[in-house]
Amino acid sequence: MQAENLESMLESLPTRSLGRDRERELLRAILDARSSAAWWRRGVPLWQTAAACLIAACLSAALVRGFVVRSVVEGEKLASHVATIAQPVAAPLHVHVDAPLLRSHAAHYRTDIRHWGSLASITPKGD
Amino acid sequence: MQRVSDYDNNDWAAFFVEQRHALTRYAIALTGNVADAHDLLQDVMVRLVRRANTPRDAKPYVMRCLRNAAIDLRRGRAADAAPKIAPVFLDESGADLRIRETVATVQAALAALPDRQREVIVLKLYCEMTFEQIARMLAEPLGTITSRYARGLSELRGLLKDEVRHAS
Repeated sequence: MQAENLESMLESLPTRSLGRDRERELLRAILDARSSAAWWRRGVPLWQTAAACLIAACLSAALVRGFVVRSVVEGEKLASHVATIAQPVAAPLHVHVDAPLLRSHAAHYRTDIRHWGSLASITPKGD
Repeated sequence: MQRVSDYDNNDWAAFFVEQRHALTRYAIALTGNVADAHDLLQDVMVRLVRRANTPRDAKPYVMRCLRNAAIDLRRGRAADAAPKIAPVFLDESGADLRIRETVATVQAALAALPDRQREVIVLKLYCEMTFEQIARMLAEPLGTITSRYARGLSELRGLLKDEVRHAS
C-alpha cells in the first residue's frame, strides 16, 4: 500500500466550508477593520512617505529662511536708527551750578563740561 | 497563481480570499463547529488587520494566531499545549452513502491519533501547508515535523486498510 494512495484518498474527501454568506461577512469585517485602522498602520507606500517628508522639509526650510531674512532686515534697521540717534554732542553742554565756590563769584554760573576728563589719582609726595 | 509573499504589504483581504478554505478547515478543527470557527476567524483576522501588515510568509503566522486564539479560548491550558484538533472539518452530510461512510471511518481514524500527529496531518493535507511552513508555525525542527507526519500516516494506514484498498 503506497503512502501516496492514502494521502490522495484523504485529500479527496469532502470538507465543510463557512458558506458564502459567512465568507462575505468575514471579508466585509476585514475590509472595515482595514479602513478604520490607524493611518500609520495601513502600510503607507514608501514613496508616499518619502514625498510627505520632502514636502514637510521644504516648508520648514522656507519658513526658517523667511524668519532669518526678516530678523536681519529688522536688525539692520535698528542698527541704523541707533547710529542716527547716537551722534556725538557738538553743541556746548552747560551745567547750571547753584552753589558758589567763592564768595566773590556770582550766585550761579554756567560751565562747559564737554572737555572734562577724569581726575588723575592723587598720591602723597615723597612716596 | 499568486503567492502570499507577492501581495502588497497590507493585503489581508486578498490573503483571506486565497486561503479561506485552509483557514476555515483549521478553524473548524480547532473549535469543533462552523459557527465558532467563523467567530474565531473573524476575531483573529480583524485583530491582524488592525495590528500589522501582512508578514512576508503570512500563512504560518496566521495559522499560529488561530491556534493561539483557540488555546486562549480554552482557559487552563498552557500556552504551548497542543490544541484539540477535531476532524469535524470533513463533510459527512453528502448524498453519497459510500462517501459518508468513508468520511466517518477517516474521522474515527484521525481521532485515534495522538494530538500532535493529527495536527500535522491536518495542516499538511487539509490546510495545504508545506513541512517548512508547519515547522515555522509550530516553532519546531523540520525533522520533527516530517517524522511526526510519517508516523501519523503509518498509523492511519493501519487503521484505514480497507478504505485505501477501495480507493486504489
